[in-house]
Amino acid sequence: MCLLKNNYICTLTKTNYYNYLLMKFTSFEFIIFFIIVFVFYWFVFKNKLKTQNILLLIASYFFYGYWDYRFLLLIFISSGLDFIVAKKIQKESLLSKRKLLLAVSLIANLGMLAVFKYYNFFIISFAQMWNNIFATELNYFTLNIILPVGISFYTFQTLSYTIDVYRRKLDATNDVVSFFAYVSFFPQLVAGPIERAVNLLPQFTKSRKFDYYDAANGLKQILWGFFKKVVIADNVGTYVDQFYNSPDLFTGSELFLGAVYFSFQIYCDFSAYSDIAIGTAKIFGFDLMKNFNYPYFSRNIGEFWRRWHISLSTWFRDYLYIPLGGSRVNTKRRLFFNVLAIFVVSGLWHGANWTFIVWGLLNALLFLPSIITSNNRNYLNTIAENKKFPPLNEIIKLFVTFTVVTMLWIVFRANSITDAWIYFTSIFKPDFFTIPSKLGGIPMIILLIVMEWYARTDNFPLEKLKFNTAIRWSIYIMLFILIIVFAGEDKVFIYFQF
Amino acid sequence: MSKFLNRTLIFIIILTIVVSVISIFYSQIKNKYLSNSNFVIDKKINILILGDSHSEAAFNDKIIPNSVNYAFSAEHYLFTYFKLKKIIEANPQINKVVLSFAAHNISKNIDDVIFLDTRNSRSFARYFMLLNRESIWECKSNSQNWKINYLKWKFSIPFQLKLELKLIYKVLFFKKILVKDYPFIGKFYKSKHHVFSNLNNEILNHYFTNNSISKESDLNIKYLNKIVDFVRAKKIKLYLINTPQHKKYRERIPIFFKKEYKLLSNKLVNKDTSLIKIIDLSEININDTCYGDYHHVNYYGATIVSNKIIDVVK
Repeated sequence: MCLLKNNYICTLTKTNYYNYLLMKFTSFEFIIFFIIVFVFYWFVFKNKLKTQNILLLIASYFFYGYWDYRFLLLIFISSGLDFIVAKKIQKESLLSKRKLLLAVSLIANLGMLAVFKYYNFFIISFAQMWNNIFATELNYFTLNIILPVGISFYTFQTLSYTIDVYRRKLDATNDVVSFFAYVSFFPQLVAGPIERAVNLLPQFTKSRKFDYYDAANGLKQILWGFFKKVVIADNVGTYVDQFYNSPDLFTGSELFLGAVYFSFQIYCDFSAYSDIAIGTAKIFGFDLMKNFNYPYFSRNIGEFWRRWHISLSTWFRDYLYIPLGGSRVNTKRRLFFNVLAIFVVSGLWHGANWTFIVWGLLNALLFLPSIITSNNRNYLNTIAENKKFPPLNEIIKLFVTFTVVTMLWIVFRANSITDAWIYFTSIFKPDFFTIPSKLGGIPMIILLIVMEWYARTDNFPLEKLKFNTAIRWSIYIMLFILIIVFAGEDKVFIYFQF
Repeated sequence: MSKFLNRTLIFIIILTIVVSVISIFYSQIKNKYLSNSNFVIDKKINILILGDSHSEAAFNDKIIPNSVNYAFSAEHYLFTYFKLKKIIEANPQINKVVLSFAAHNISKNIDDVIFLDTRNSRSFARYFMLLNRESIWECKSNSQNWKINYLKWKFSIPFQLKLELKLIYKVLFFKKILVKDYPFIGKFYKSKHHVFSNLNNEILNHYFTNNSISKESDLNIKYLNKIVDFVRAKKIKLYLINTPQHKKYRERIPIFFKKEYKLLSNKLVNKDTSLIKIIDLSEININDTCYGDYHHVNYYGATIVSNKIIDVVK
């Protein structure tokens, strides 16, 4: 019915804007761009480190400016400010002045993030609260601006540099090109992984040689990323939109299936971007950090958070949780506060909506018992390590963790808390035990699970296939064909809006 | 580097060969499942119901004798035209066509909604098998999806396997293909739901582009005219029916579209007054509970509409 589809269109207005103008990894424009940069990088400017870095900087600014050149100014200001501030921090010995300089960087970077991402949300929420308490209308204005793609990612990346220089973990760089290229490095600019300066910046200053195995692995990781994005995320995404836009039209079992589909959509969408980013970087001789480590093979919520969006969770751990005292605090109240803070801020990082805050809060509530009982560091190993299958109790834990995470994703996906509640309660109806329709996404999800299960100790499933060349190449060709066949229902990467 | 380039090149060559073989194999399958003989329906059926969700929701083919409802949600007249041609070619006994026709059908915004971005891929994939080169270019949008789908059409690669899987399976295993197996064939939407959602959104989506009143849809009007010309050539009666719309929705339709709708209705009827009939049921008085939303009837409303239509199409 049109009713359903009209609502669908409404919810897409913002993502459409990104869809049309972005140079997505899955676009023809990116393929051409990539080939041109590759040729210049490895053939024309071979063994010329400085020129290669200048090329990467120009390519990265072109990549970002292709979407909207006006926002280049933001990334330029952010990079320039932190380059100067870090150098001053490095030279300064007086702690108070160093703190002041760090505060300048924090206020400027987080200020830009606050204006572009959170201003409207907070002003509207405040005005609503004011109206409710004082029963008078509060005059306010909102900003008619679109969220700059990737602002949350590069802001955190550049902040990590200044903070690490402040902590004397890293020396401030004098190489302006390398620093600007580090902040804007196109493979991971718009959706991570959020790289630390300690890891990525030195790679810009060392000469890079083409390595066959790295490049081949990079291509394989890109192929795996494309498979996850095109064949699974975009495919199940069409079902997810239908379920979430009109939950009243579906049975409880179908809505549960919709929630499961979203779990795979968001995982395959986001981790695909990371895979393509890491693979692309490998081809250019860079080693980016692992961002996902088979999160749905987790046995409790603590393990899940060690395996999901690793670059963000470790960022919050190192730059927020530990400075707050982490788990080494005197009172339980303080521990509660620290855990709540990290999860709520993590939720808010995803977007200016109460759904993200509540999602973060619910994760905190689930995580708290394990940290109180000191069980949060259980399961540091991989499930069924050196075995084919795990014991029954671990299988049960895996299913329980997946189900809990899936239920929490409902809040994350819904447009409002009310919508999330309606969706959640609609699952548990008598028709929950009927066979759902729209099972079309299941075969590819099963293929994903099987491949990931067998590769759960590797970086990605195609990394170390233990077959001869003919079988390996047949697998690559099969994945390619699936991508070609499933292509054409392209959706923008979900994390572009964060 | 040379090892990397050589192996990549060999891989691309093998991949191209495999894709070409699939393409040749697939085009054979496509030709088979598009054969007219697969579109033959019951000889008793002489009333064909087509259109978008308005037809889909309003005409119960169990109530209207000798009729079949193949309407599909959000179907553009461009798609209806090719669908109609295909069904009529296989079923010469059809002498009456019922088609939904409302003001939103002539709004340019509907073109954008159907052809842009995600919708484009869905519509395109559903109907691509019926389209010719000219019509495919008329569906063109700047979206990535259109480009990919065009290439897939051009090089004969399955669009979206889930839409065609049944047809491919039936060809491969020599099973009989039924009309309902085609992804563009809809049916009466039997829903008893009644939800008056955001009227503002409905109006904006139908008649406004960037908060200003949309233009007319040249493409929809062109293909509506083609439908009219086609039925005239085949001596088929065409009933263009404006299904019930809630008073609150009708009041919000911009005057521009009300006028244009009237003008176009008159033009179409004047092409052939004996074959082309406009039936306006948009203002009939029915209870709120008979609406699915502001501009669709639900099952109860469909019962009323279908009973009214019986006399008209007798």
